[in-house]
Amino acid sequence: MNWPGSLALRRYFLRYLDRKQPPLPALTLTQQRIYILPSRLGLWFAVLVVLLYLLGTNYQNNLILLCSFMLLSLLLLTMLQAFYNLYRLRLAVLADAQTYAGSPGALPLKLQSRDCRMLQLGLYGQKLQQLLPNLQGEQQFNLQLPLLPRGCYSLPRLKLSSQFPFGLFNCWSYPALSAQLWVYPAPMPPNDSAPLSAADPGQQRATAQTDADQLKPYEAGDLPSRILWKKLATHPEQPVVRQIPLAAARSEQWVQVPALTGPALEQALSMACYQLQQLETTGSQYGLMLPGKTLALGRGQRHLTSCLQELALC
Amino acid sequence: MLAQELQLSRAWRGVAALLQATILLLYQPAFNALTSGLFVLLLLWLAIRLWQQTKPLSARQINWLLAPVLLLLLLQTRSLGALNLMFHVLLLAAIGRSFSLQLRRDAIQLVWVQYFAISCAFIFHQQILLAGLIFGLLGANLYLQFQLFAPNGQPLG
Repeated sequence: MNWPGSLALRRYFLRYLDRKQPPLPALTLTQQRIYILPSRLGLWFAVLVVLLYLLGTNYQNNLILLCSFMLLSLLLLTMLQAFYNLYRLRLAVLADAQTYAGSPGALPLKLQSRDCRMLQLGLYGQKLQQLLPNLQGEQQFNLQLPLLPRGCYSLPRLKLSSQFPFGLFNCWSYPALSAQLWVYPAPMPPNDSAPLSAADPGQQRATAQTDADQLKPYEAGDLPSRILWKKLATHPEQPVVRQIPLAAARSEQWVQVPALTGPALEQALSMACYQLQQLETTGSQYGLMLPGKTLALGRGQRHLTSCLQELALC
Repeated sequence: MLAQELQLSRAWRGVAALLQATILLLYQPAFNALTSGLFVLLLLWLAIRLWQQTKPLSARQINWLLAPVLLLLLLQTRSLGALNLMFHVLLLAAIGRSFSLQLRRDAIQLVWVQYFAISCAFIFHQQILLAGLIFGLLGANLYLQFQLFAPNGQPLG
């Protein structure tokens, strides 16, 4: 739509949708959410029906008239089939999308339908679209997201569309799902002139290298990320885990981001992101100090996610 | 739509060529020996290209191929008559399009033209058996249309 006023009309339509269909964590496509209009081929098909009708009446040919009526009935039947292809399709967000700046992210969705074919999914207003040829029953689907700068975004409306089975009707929906898109700073190893401070990171790296290969038998409570999966495959009765270096486990590391602006801030955040990941890998206890905010010492994936989210919002 | 960007299968193109050959047979009352021979040659070349899996022709190449044929048909307007000339042009357009098929979206117009061409065969043939054959062709064309919008290898129904 490039004609004048199309942008205003689209905004008005989006406001209307926001009012009528607020974001939900899970939803089912029903009559209120599905739109259906003839496609270009559908319009040409209607022209064909009219042409054949005129040809049939002019030549007084009942078989051509029969053809015309059969194609008309097919057109009407396809309208229903196209609608039922999307009808009762259930969508749910499994988790918030997480990615790093400069890397494409994906939103994990759970799709459920009795029988849906050739479903095209994408974000509203975005060119990036994906095709799901067959959906029968429940299926997990990773919706690819466009590249975004660092930050936290609300998931825009999705666009689901399909022209199955004969391409005569375009059936689509704009479901709104409540989810966040977290874009963390891209991890970057710190350099000498880094405007970032952490409690003796050099010693920490050295400790990590020397102690990383120390192994111990698996005990209940050990982190799954520390299990040596390759060894587990060869000796399934003896699971082995990487031992958390004592020095690292006991050490308390603080990652600090100084008060900066512009590219210097982005660089500092990227280095802080890298350091947080390294500290989590070595099993250290670490905290995050941001200008005006401090995250207490902690460990584990949830703590790392909290720290990264703070970096994204910084 | 993304589905339209999928590659068209060789089998699809083969069935479409077979359909056009059948339409040519049904149109025989409107064709003379010269035009029939020309169309048979075009279809044979199409079949050889399909068999050898050669690259589809570009729009410019098809124009160069079909322009002399169209000129020849126009020269015969008086002897053919307007209605018969329309059948010639219809079938020529369908065969010409078949030379350039690569993606699913390339075939949408072809399917439309074939519907019209098949239905027009009722002007010449209204015997019960031939009518059955023509309805069968319509069904085959419907199946081809379904294949354009369905997942690969999807059976009808």
